[in-house]
Amino acid sequence: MTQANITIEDIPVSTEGITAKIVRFQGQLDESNVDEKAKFIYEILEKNPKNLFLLFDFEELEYMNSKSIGYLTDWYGKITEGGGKITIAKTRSNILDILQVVGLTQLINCYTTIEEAKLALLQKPAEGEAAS
Amino acid sequence: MENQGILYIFSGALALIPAAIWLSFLLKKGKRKKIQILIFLLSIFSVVPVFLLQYFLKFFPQFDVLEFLQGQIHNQNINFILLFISVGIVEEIVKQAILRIVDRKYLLIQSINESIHYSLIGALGFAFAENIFYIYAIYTQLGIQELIVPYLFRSIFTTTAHMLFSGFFGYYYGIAKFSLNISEQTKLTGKKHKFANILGTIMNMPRLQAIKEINILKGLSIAITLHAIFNFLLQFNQILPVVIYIVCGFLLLLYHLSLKSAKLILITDVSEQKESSMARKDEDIVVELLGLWFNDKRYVDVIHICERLIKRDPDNKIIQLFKAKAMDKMDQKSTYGKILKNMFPKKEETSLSSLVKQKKEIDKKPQQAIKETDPPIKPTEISDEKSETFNLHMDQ
Repeated sequence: MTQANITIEDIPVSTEGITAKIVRFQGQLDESNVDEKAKFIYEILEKNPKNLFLLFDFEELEYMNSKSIGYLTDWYGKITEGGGKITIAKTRSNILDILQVVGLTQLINCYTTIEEAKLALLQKPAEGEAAS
Repeated sequence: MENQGILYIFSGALALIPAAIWLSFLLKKGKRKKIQILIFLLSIFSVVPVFLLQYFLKFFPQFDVLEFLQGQIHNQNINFILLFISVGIVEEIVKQAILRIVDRKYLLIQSINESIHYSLIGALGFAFAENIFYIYAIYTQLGIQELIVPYLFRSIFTTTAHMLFSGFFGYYYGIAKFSLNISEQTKLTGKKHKFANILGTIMNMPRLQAIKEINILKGLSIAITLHAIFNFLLQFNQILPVVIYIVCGFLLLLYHLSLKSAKLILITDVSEQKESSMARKDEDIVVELLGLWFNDKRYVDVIHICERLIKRDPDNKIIQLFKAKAMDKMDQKSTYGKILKNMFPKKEETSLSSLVKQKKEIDKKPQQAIKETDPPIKPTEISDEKSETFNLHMDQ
């Protein structure tokens, strides 16, 4: 089995009802481990169906297979449905290239630093305001 | 003898009318007109082996397998079926041989659509020659009064039927010819080609060659079966079922001709082939994803990804095939969708493009910042060994 690790760190926020986390991916997500690793994200999703804000740190992620891109799309759909958000930070150029071709960068903003990604993550549409 | 010659010319002139009408229509639709005419002319002579076989069996009846089988079976219907299958086998084999020979010599066929098109022309040549002999035989045996109805029937339906049978062979011949790309694309959608693996092992041939042979055999079997059914229905004067059979078959063939995947040019000039601007390994991941999403019926996403990929790798036939097939599926969906719209409740579809639209709407709204508090909680490692720790943490 190829080595892949996921580390989760809470981002403490003062706004009630909001859960924000940094999810750090390390190694290679391939057929041998992707289903198992995806379960961890689904567990977080299950526990926080609403207002979940996730920052994916891809700095140490070397490889993503097609299935993991499928999962990423699914997480995006589920999280945004619950009023949450995903941002990605420090993606390697090969992975960024794949995400661009798939069209995921149109949905999930990718940033070069964690700070930028965090700043963008913790932005929420103001409640009760109409679209401009 | 002189009369016989005139009668053959007369028969030829009559047989030429439907052939010329069809040919003028087909020539307009296709490219390389000279080669199309060559196929037509060569196919006229494809009746020669059929007649030679008949003469051979007349003089050497010991080789007549059909007669032997018919002698063993005393059921008239089964004997008819055997007769029509054997007629179908001989005629379809000679018809397709011309197409294969010309294609090999001139590298004629560049798409599945063209394979069907040239098969239709070949069948037209064969039907033209066959019609000459039928018109001659009916005229000399029954006279001109009895010729009109069979002539009209053969001109309209038998000629069309020959084209129909060969058209289906042409479809599978096209799939066989481009099996390198087509089997690669279908493999990505999960097709296993188990029979090809078995055949390859038994016959000691490469898997791709086995896929090719299976498709050619499939096309030939379909053409032979359709031919035998047509002859069987005619034997019992089932004119209306014959007409329905031909019309339905032709509509199905027209549907195959209209497919975007059938129109796709699958031959690439290697010398002009542009290299991909994406790393092979990365492109493979995206192509694999196309297979997964094609299976999940996410055709809109498949089309959009293909469009972006084609910009990076313009000559990749697998990507082009994915796009064309996804577009065909979308067309089918819109056709069936209209029919099924009122029958079943509409399921909300989520494609990446619809999500992008939603995101743009959200991004337009004024944003408010979520405030961070200090200090952050210690990270939790999620790995095979530490997943329990994670669970405990999450429960706290």
